[in-house]
Amino acid sequence: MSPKRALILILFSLELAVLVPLGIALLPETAQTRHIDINARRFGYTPARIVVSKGDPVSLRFYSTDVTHGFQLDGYPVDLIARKGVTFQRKVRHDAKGHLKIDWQRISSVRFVANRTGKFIFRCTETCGNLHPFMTGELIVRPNMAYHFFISLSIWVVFATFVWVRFKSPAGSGRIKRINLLEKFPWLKRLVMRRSFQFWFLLLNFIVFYLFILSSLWGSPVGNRNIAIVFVWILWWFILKAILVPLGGRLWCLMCPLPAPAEWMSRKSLTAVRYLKTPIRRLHHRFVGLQKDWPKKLRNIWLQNILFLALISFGMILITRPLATAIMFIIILTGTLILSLIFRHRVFCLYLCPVGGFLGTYSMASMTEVRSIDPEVCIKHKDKSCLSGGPGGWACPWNQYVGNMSRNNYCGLCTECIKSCPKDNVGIFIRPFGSDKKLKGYDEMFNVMIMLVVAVAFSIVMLGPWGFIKDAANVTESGQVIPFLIYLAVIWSTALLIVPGFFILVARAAGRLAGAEINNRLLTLRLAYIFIPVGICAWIAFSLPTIMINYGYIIAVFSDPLGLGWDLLGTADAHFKALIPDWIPVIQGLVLLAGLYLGVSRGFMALKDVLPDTKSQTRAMILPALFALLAVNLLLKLYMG
Amino acid sequence: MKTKKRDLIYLFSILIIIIGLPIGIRAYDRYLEPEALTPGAKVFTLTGHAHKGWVLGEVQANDIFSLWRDEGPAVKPVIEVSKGDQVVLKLRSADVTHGFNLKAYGIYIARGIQPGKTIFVSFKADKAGAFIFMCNVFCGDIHTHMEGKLIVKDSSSVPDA
Repeated sequence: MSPKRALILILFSLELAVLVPLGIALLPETAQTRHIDINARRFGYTPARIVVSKGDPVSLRFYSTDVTHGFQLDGYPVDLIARKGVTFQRKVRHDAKGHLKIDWQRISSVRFVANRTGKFIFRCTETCGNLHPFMTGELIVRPNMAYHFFISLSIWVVFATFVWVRFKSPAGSGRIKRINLLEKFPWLKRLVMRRSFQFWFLLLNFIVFYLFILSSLWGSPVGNRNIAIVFVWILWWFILKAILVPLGGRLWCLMCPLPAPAEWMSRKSLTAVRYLKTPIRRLHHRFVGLQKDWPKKLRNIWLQNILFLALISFGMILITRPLATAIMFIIILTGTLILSLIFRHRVFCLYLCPVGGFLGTYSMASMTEVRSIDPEVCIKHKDKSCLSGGPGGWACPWNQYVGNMSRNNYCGLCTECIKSCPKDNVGIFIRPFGSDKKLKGYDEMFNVMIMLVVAVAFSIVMLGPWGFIKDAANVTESGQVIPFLIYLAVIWSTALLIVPGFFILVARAAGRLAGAEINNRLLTLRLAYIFIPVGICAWIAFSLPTIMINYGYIIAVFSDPLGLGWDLLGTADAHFKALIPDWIPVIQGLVLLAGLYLGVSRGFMALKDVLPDTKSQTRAMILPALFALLAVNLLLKLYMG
Repeated sequence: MKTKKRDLIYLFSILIIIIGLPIGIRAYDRYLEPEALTPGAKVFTLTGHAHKGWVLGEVQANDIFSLWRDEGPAVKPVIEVSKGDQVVLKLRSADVTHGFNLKAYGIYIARGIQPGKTIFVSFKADKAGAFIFMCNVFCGDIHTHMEGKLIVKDSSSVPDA
C-alpha cells in the first residue's frame, strides 16, 4: 500500500468515526420535567442509574434509609446530605474574612436543568461504613455523545493501526533504540554503584510500612481516615500501576520493604558484601539457612496466579479494613523470613508474591531494562559474577544471568549485577514502551488474562453503581454467604476458564486465518502480548478515579496519619472535593484508547519473527484485535456508557 | 572495613526506628490529651460504634476488627462523677457519623461526630442525679438503644471516707 493511500484511508475513516456519533447527537428530543426520588442505603443508591435527556428540568429528592449519607453529583452543583428523616444541602462559601464556611440548609428537593450531556457519577460524601468510598450511582444525560465518540474512535484506532502497519512494515524493521542511562548520566552511575543505593529506598519504605502496621493496630478503624488504607490502596496502588510499572517495570521490587528483613538476615549484612573466593554451590557467598533450591515444578508463576486470585477474592475487605491490610503485610513479612531460611534466592518474590506475578508480565512492556552492554563480553567472561556474585556486589537474588537475559519478567532491578560485574558491562537502558514481546509459557498467558478479567471485575464491583455486588463482596459485614460464593465462582471461572479459553480459541482461529504453518502454542503466547499494554492501560483507567476522587483523604491523612484527631500540618480538615470529576470518564476513555493502540501495534511486532509476511500477520491479527476491541469497549461501557 | 562499620550505624538506626516510632506516636497522642487543656478535669472517652453503642474508652482498629458481622447487644456505659467536677467528654466514632446529646446539661452536637475526628465537650457537673445521654444521628439498627448514663453524685450527702 502506498503511503498516500494509507494516509487518506486513515483520515477518511477518522472523519467517519467523528461524524457518526455527531449525527446521533442531532436527533431531536423534547424536554420534560423529571421527578426522581433517590434512596440511599449502605452501600448503594436506588435507583443506581438515572437516565434523562439533555435540557430536562430535574427535580430530585434524596432520602437515607439507614445512616448519614451524602450525594455529590459530578459536573452539577448538587451536594446533599441525608439523615433518616431530614435532607440538607451543603453550601461552601467564603465568609467576610475569607475563611471557608460550610452551611447546611434543610431542603425538601433540589432542582437543576440537565444541560450537560454525558455520564456523571454521584457519590457519598459522609463516611457511612467500610465500603463508603465505593458508594456511587450514575446520572446519564442523553445523548451521551462522549461515549458514542469513544466507541467509534476505538473502532477507528484498530482500523487505522491495521492500515498503518501494512504500509509501514516493509521499511520499519530496524532494531529498537535503547539509551544506556548509566553512560549518559555519570552521576546516576556513581549513585547506583554505591553499596547503600538500594538500602536507602528500603529504609524509607520500611519506615512507611512500619507506620502502616502501627496505624492499622492503633489508628482509626475507619479505612479512609487511616494511613494504612489511604496510602496503600489509593496512593501506592495508583503510583504502582500508572507510574512504576509502565516506566520502571519491577521498580517496586527494588524498594519493596517486605522481603528486605529476610534478605538482610540471610546475608547477615545490610549493605556490605561478604565475598568468598571459592564458591559454595556456584555462589561466592555464605548465606544463613538451608539454601535449598526451589522445586523445579513450581518454577513458574502459577502459584502467583492462584494467590493473586485468592487475594482479590477478599479484595473488597482487604482494601477497606486497616487491620486486614496489616495482617497481609505481616504474613508476607514472616513468609519471606521463613522461606529465606529454607531456600536460596528470592523465592517468595519470584514464585509466590501475588503482586510479583503481574509485575513480571507487565514489566515486559515497561520502558526500563537492565541488560548487558555487550553480550560478547559476557560470553567470554568465565566467572559470570552477576549470577554468582563478586567482591563488589551480591549474586543476583533473582537468579538471573544478565548475559542472556532478554526479558524483564524476573529482574528485580536491585542493581547488584551492576556492582558485581568486573567488566563494567551492565547498564540500565530506557527503551520504547512494549519492547519484550515473548511470553514464555501458559502461566504467563493466564496471568495476562487474569489481570484483564480482574481489572474489569474491580471496575464493576468498586466503581460500578450496583450495591448488591458490593454486599456480596463485603461478606464479613453483610453476612451474605451465598451471593459471595456466586461472586467468587464468577470471578474464578471467568479468569481461569472463560476468558483464557475464549482467547485460546481466538488464537487457534487466528492461526487458521493466517494460512501459514505455525505452532499453536507459539502463536497463542505471542498474541497474548496484545493484552499487556491493554491491561496496563485498563488498570490505569481503573485507578484514576480512585486517586482523583479520594486525593482529599491523602491530604487529610498527612496531617492525621492514624485518624486520631491530630493535625500535624493543618490539613486534617481538608474538604472532600474531587479533582475535575466530570472529566474522569473522558480521561479514562483516552487511556483505554492508548492501550488499544499500543496493544494492537505491539501485537503486530510480536508476530514479526513467527509469521513470514505482512499479509499473514494482518490476517492473524484480525480476530485478536477484535477481542481487544471488545475488552476495551466493555470498559468504555462501564466508565462512560 | 568501612562498609561494615557503616552497616552497624544503619542497623542501629533501624532499631531506633522500630522502638522510636511507636513511642513517638503514643507520646504525641498523649500530648494532645485534654488533661493538658483543662487541668483537674475528669476525662472520659466515648466512642460511638454502630453495632455496640457507646464504648467507654478509645477504640482502636484492632479492638473492633471482627472476622464476621457482630451485632449488639448494645453496651450502655455508666459514667460516675461528683457534683462540682469539671467533666470533659472526648467523643469519637469508630464507623459512621454519630451524634450526641445530654439534655440535662443542654449539650447537643449538631453536625455529628465524624469518624476520625474528636469532639471535646466540657461542662461543670452542677446538677446531681442520673442523666441519660444518647446518639441523635440515626446510625443503624441499634441506634435507638445507643445510650448511656451519667451519674452525678452529691458529695455533700455522701461524704468521702
